[in-house]
Formats: sequence, structure tokens, C-alpha cells
Amino acid sequence: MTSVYISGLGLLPIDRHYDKSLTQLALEASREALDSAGEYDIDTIIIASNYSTLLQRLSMLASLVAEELVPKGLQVFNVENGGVSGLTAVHLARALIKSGLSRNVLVIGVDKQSDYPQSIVNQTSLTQVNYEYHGIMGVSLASLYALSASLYLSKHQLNEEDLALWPVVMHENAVDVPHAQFKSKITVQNVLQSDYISAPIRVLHAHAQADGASAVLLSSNKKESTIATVEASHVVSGKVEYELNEDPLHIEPVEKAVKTVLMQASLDKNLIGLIEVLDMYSIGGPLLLESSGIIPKGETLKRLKEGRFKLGDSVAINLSGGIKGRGFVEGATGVYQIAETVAFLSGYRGYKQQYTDYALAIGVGGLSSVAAVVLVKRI
Amino acid sequence: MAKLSISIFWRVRKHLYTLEGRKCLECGRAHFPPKNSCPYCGSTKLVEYYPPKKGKLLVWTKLYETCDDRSAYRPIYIGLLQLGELRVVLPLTDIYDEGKLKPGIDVELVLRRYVEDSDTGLIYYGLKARPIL
Repeated sequence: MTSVYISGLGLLPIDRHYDKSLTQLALEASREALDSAGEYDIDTIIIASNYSTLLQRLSMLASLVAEELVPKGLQVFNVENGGVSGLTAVHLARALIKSGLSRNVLVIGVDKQSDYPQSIVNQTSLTQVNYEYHGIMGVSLASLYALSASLYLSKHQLNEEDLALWPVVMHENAVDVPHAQFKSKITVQNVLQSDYISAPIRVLHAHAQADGASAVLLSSNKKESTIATVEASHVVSGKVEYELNEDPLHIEPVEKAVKTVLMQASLDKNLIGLIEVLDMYSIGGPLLLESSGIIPKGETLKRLKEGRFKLGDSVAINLSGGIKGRGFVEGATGVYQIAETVAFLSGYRGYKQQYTDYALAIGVGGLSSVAAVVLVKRI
Repeated sequence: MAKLSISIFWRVRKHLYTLEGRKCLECGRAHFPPKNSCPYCGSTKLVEYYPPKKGKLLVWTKLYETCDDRSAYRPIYIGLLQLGELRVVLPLTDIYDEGKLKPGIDVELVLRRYVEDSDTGLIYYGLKARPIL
């Protein structure tokens, strides 16, 4: 059985890069990944970007990057799959390597929101709901997460203060992460004093506009620079329309994807010591972790309050700082998640290290449209 | 993405004016928006299902961060409702006393304006829910 090795990482600082184009960001992350791998003989590029077509109007992004990176030509793919575009790209890269169609796949995640004002970016994010119904009604993704947050807090007898702890911990985690967008701490009081976006979700529960690019080199052969393997991965579709979920607090595709990945690797969930989870609007963190079966229902925020999930705990969660601290770069986020798990597993180039062998990256597109999960193992 | 597509709205107008959903003859479950096959069991044996005009509010939120085309309506109240066998997300309207907006209250459907395409463009209507007080 072919193994899938991770040998190079590119993690650009997440910021508003007004002076750089989408293509430039992708190229910079790519070169960083290839340089760190010491491998330039790639035969495939997969680019994950959620809004390059809508915002930058570049639907041929992978070819545009390939023009400069590998002018002789190679296999190129563009992946657009909501918040899991990046994890989906890694999943596809793994499939190509395992099938023998590719040897060295460069997976790039890139998105750039600062080219437009927030109101335009908000319109593009309506594409993550069923636009023909919820979009026309003005129902946004933030409002759907807000409904879930209200249901969650009420079901588990928690309050806004409990939810506010999530972004506070995320900001703490991001303080020493080299590529994080915000390296400053915030308090529960700051969160509770910030304006509502959609009650009970406040500004400090939400990501800021962000530009960034991350890249990872996946290969069929082990190199000197190899630091981890992709042990398993899976992508599962769910329900795009919020009201179709049997239980709005259970993201079924996340449960299915995690189960499948653990089964593929014949791994006990208790051996996972690090998780990078897509924590949209704070409530996404508890929702996904509890849907995965790794944290019992209603326990995430309670354990966070007890000081759990930090570096050195039996399972550390979002050492990157999640969407609040590290930032949310839409379709690129999944590639960042993979690069981060590898960096934290290995203590790569000054990144803090969680001493464990297995890390899981979990994401969703929309609120429950699609889930993707990737299991990474340290070498 | 500045304006809605007239033809997209024209195709879904009946669904937005009546909340016409579907009910599965195999598993018996109703859903909205209407699909060509049941999102729960996959059966294509579906019949139209029109929910009652009155139902219950399950949970709600008040959305401040909207797109530019909704700025005149900001903030927008949005609720998850149970209408007969259907669960739907709809905008809420006629909220004069937010304190009375509690999960479990009765709501009824009313036809209201969703959005318009600029000052001289089309006006798009659809159902919203209002509390019965």
C-alpha cells in the first residue's frame, strides 16, 4: 500500500496583503513549501480556493500558478468546496498518489478577501447556503450558526459568557503562532462588549477579513525532509439546508467522516493528541468536536473552562488559534490546518510542539453541507 | 452578484409564496425546499406538501450583518419554525416587542417584501412569519 508523505510546508502570514495578488500569494506559499522540501519535480498542482472565481474572477487559477511554477506543464486541478476546499484538496492529492497517477503533488490553498469591502464579501458567503431559498430570504451563514448557538447554549444550560471563552482561548493560542493574523489576547469582557453580528454571535466570535496562502507537498516517496504522513482522509456530503438536519446540533457528515478515517487507519480515537477544527463563529468548534464523537455532547465549553485542550493536554485543540486567532482564509483554511498539524506535531521551524503521534484536521463547508477530515501522523 | 436573477426567482416563486414542500410516500417525512428525491431516504415517490399557515417558533436570531441590498431592513429577525410536518427557516416580521419573542410562541405566515433590485428594479416578495400575540 502506497504511503503519502508530507515533505514541505508553506505558511504565509495571514493578513490583509493589499500589495499582493491572489496568484502572488499562491506562488509565495508554493515556493516556501518546495524550498523546505528540497523537491522541485512536481507533477500535479491542486489549488483550493473558495472565492477566486467570485472575487478575483480567476477560474483558471491552478494554470495561472503552473505557468510560473512549472512552465513545462503538469496536471492541474481547482478545488472549490466551501470551508473544506483545502481539506478536500489534500484528500484528492492523497487519492492521486495512492492510485499511482501522481508522485509529487503540490496542494495550495489561497483566498483573498481584502480586494473588496465587507458587504461584497458577505454576498459571496451567501453562496454557502442554498442561495435560491435562504439567499433570497437574506438568511446568511452567520444567522444559521447563531440559531445553532442559541439552541446549544439553551440545551446545555450555558450562557454567552461560556461561549465567549472560546475566542478568548483561541487568541491565547495564537500569540506565538508565526503566521497567525492576531497575536493579541482578548478577554471575556471584550467579547461580551463587542457588537452582535447575529445574536448570540458577536463580532469577536467571527473571523476578520483575511488574505493568505498555504501549501504542502505530498509525495509517494519518503525524502530527507519528510516530517509526517497522511494516514487517512475522507469527505462526506451532508445537508445544505439547515432545516433538513435531523438534529441541528449534530453535524452528521462530521460523525461519518471521522468514523471512516479512524476505521481506515484502524486507530482508537483516544490516540489523537491534536485537533485542528474549523470553529466558525466559535460555536462551530463545539458543534464539530461533539459531532465527531471525540468530545461528549455539551462538554466542550465546560472542559475549556476547566483549562483543558491546551498545549500538553491529552488532546490539544486549535493550537493555531482557529478562525479567530490564526484567521479564516476561506478555501485556504484546510491547507493551513494540515500544515499546522504537521508543524505542531514536529515542532517545525520554531512552532510549539504537541508530543503526540496523531493529529486530526476537521472541517465543514457551510454549516452541514459537507465535512472533510484528514488524519496526519508524525514520522 | 449585485442583483437577484429574475429567472431564478421566477422558478422558485411558488415555493417562496406558499412554502410548497414535498412529502415522501416511502418514509413519510416532509421537507422544504422541495427536492426531486427525498433527502432522507432517496425515494422519488414524493407528493406536494403545503404546511399549515400557523405554527411554532423554535429558535430565533437577530441578524445585523447583512448584505448591502438588505441594509434598509437591518436588523433582520430570522427564525427556525415548525409548521405542521415541516421545519423551515424564515425571516420574521412585525416584531414590536422583542421580549415576547420566545421559543414555543405561535407564529403565522404573511406575504411580505424580501428585497428589491435598487430604486427602480423589481420587488421580490415571499413568506415571512409573524408572532400571534
